[in-house]
Amino acid sequence: MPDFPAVTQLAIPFFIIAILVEMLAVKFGWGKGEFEMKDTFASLAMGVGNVVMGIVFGFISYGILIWFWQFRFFDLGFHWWVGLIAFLLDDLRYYWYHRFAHTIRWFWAEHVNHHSSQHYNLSTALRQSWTGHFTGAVMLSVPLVLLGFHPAFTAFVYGFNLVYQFWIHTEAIDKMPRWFEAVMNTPSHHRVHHATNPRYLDANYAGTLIIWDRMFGTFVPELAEDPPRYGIVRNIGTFNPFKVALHEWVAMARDASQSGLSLSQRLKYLLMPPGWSHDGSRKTSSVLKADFVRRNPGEAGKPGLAVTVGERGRVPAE
Amino acid sequence: MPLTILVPMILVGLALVAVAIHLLGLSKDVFISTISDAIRLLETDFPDAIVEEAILASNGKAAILKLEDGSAGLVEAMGDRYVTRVVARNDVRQVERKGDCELVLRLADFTLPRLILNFTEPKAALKAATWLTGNQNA
Repeated sequence: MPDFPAVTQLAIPFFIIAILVEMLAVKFGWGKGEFEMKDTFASLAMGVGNVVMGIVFGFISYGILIWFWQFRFFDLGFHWWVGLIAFLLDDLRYYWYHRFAHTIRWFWAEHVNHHSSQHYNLSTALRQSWTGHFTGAVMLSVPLVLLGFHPAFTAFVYGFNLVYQFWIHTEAIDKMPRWFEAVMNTPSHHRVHHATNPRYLDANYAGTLIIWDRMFGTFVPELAEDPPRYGIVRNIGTFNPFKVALHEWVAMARDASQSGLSLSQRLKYLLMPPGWSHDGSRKTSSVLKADFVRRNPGEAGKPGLAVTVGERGRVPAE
Repeated sequence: MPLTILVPMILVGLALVAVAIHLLGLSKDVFISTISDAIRLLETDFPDAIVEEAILASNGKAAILKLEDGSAGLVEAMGDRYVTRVVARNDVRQVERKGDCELVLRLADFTLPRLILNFTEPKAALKAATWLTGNQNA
């Protein structure tokens, strides 16, 4: 087996240089964007913590996949074309992981910290999870392993996916050429994903290829008349990286351990979408969208919003 | 990658970013200057909230709002952004008055557990405490 390098670690100098260039662009008005010292450091601390957690606990995820490797149906080897197919299939795997990470609170608890900044700049890309090795999301990679893609190979190509996703965390780039916006995930598409405007909630889950969102009905375009507001629906009041990493786990544990709940209600606090509550006192994304349409009936049926007032479904853009 | 390379690389990177932010002066603090700003900020996050009254903290970094449904709204400036909350009575762990014009607010909120609110006059502090606790003698 080839000795695959850790792509994301090798990219660290590029990440730093790119952040510095973006800062200069913002300072001298070459591109749109905003930085805040504490926010940037919280994001970088989350990135460092993610690397540390990968070094210390990465063996858990890798060990699970290696265990499954013995049950593989094929062994596709390490040819370049195998890597290309692995990249595409892993990008599809990432789409579903990401969709679950926004629609199942157990996974959201791990992923929310990436969305917890109210800024959107390249440092936000590094605001990564510390708890990803403990959620079981690694099981989504098992089908690839069983198909014959070696875990080390899929980890290697996933590194390129993550590096690709770095540059799209910026306001400095408006729109890319039309053909590129049609196929690839771009800063514009990903700004939508990080926005809390009701129409933009739960949209654009893509890693590298935006075609998955277009295929599965979750694509919403960025509208000039509704600029993205970044962050989460209930923004956090801290820059402390430990609180950033753990706040939703704490909130979920508190909710699920309230007195007087049935076992089913406790489980729903772990498995239902963020915002679900047993007494209906909170709002999920679909309720927030429906509320928005109720207040703005003229927006009904537009991408990301329900067709009629009260309908809690989603309308795909295309 | 060996830790002997990875760790220095990260440290140098962090230092460069710190120096750049400082030299470029990119950070700025925001303030809540007017009552209508406070209401607008709360209503952006809670569009169904109906604000009856609001008081600004004397340093312009926070505001407390009385809502029609009996709960209280909070807006806090955090760096160059704002954090908003609608707090019901059971979200408030303690409201402690310090001196005539200061309130120390403790919330059942993991990321915003404590808020210090200074007001220009004792009457405002008393009013804010009443909105938060419902207790006229707070």
